[in-house]
Amino acid sequence: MQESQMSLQDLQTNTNSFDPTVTHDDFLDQMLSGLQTTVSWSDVSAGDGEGGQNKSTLPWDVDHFDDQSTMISSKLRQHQITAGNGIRTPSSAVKSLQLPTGESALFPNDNTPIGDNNSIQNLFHGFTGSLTSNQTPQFRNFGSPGAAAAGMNQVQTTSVTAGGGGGAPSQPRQRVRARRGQATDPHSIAERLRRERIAERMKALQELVPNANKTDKASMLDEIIDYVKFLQLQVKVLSMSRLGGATAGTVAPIGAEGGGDCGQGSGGRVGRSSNGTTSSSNNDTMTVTENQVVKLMEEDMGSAMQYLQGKGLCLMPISLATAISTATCHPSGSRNNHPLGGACGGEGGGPSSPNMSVLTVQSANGVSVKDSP
Amino acid sequence: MSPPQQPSSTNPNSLKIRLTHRFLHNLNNLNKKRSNLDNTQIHRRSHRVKLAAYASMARVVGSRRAWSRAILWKIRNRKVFTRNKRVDHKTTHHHHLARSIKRRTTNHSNHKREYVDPNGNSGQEVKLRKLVPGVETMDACGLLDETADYIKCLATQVEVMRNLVDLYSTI
Repeated sequence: MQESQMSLQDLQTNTNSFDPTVTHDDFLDQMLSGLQTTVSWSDVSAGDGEGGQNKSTLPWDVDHFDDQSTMISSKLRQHQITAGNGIRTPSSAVKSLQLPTGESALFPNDNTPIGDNNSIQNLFHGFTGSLTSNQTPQFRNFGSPGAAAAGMNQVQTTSVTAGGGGGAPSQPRQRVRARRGQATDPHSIAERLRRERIAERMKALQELVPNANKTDKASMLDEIIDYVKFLQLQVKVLSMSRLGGATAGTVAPIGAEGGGDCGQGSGGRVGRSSNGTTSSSNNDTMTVTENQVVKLMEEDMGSAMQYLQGKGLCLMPISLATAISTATCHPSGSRNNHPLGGACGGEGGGPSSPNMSVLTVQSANGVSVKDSP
Repeated sequence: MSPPQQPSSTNPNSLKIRLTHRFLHNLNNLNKKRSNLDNTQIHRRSHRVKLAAYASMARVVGSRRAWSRAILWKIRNRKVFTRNKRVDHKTTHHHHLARSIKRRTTNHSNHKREYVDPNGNSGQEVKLRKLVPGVETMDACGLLDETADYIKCLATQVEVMRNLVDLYSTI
């Protein structure tokens, strides 16, 4: 606070063209009257911490007003202009006002082109434009330059309340950075909007993907990637078992493990992919199949295995077959009257069900032809 | 029982119903089209079924989504390529063709690196772009959107297929 007073007095001494009859208090009173009569200004900054929807109402970007140097420099700027000449020395003093943390590069010249993203520059140019074009009624009250301490206090409070961020009136002036969520820079506003949209989408994805209790974006992305891979693998495996046809043409996947998304470790829901598609297979078919297999086995074991695979059957030792058939877990779906009951996983819908992997077992001795579970 | 082409409703039940219809339809076509003998070419058959699954998924969603458009385009061009080149190879050839086509239009993606792309993408986003079809040139926001839709449809498709397997799994 004191700094502002002192620096302003520096400015006062520097600039000679000020009207000496008008005191500081008068100037600030005029400014404040202008401020308070213009409801739009503080309303804008108070109501709008987000993307500037009120931009259309004002010729400049007034989203952010708790920045003291902004206020000071803006006032200085405008009286620099009302003074009628481009005074270079106040601008240098304005530079001296620049606070250490400044993201605000208070530009030195009048002639700085509007190429920068800085909010203060926007303010400046806005002020400039408004004053030179003489469109805004707010500034008509501002007479000669000067600033007083009391006035600055009030300006401070209005700006703080206008900032809407809930800072105390005794906010230190070193705080030049925009508050979180209140950047005035159009680019950072766009950036914030973009981040919000991405966060929205991530939240929607979290509902789709199981195990979505991760708050970290990176780990969430990892989960999503794993889940997509898992689903694609499931489609592939299910398509292997879904070969249409009159006969049971399925291939049991060999110890497949799902994409690891289940959160219960590896082993996705692969086990379903088994069973043949015949709805009416009877013993005749089995006998024929068996004979065929026997015939093939005489020539070449490999072709026999392939034939069986094409039918969705596998060879396994009898002991294992009995073990599997007495297993207690049954595949889901009441429609399934599979005799083996299978080592297929217990169900659940979807990927949150526990894991089961299906094995095809081959053995040279003591084989039995069984439907693959 | 013609499949009702309901307009863009993403209600999961209706999506499932439509997917089922379309998938069965495609499977029937598949079985009629070629001589799917019960031969030893399991891979080809399973690949065709997988293609049918993806095609039905994409067809149901239609052209609303980038991934569905990409899938449909890929499948159509794959057919063109098979006809032209008389491919009897395995499916990897198709993958190469499709991928080479895609590369012409898209930028290179780094393989399994964790650094940030020149575009500002993290390695994970790149991986995601590889997984989801048709999102190569999208921004992060659209990418996540498409991924959500893709995941939803994939999950429904998996459920449909699983139900079919259950239905037909009686021996």
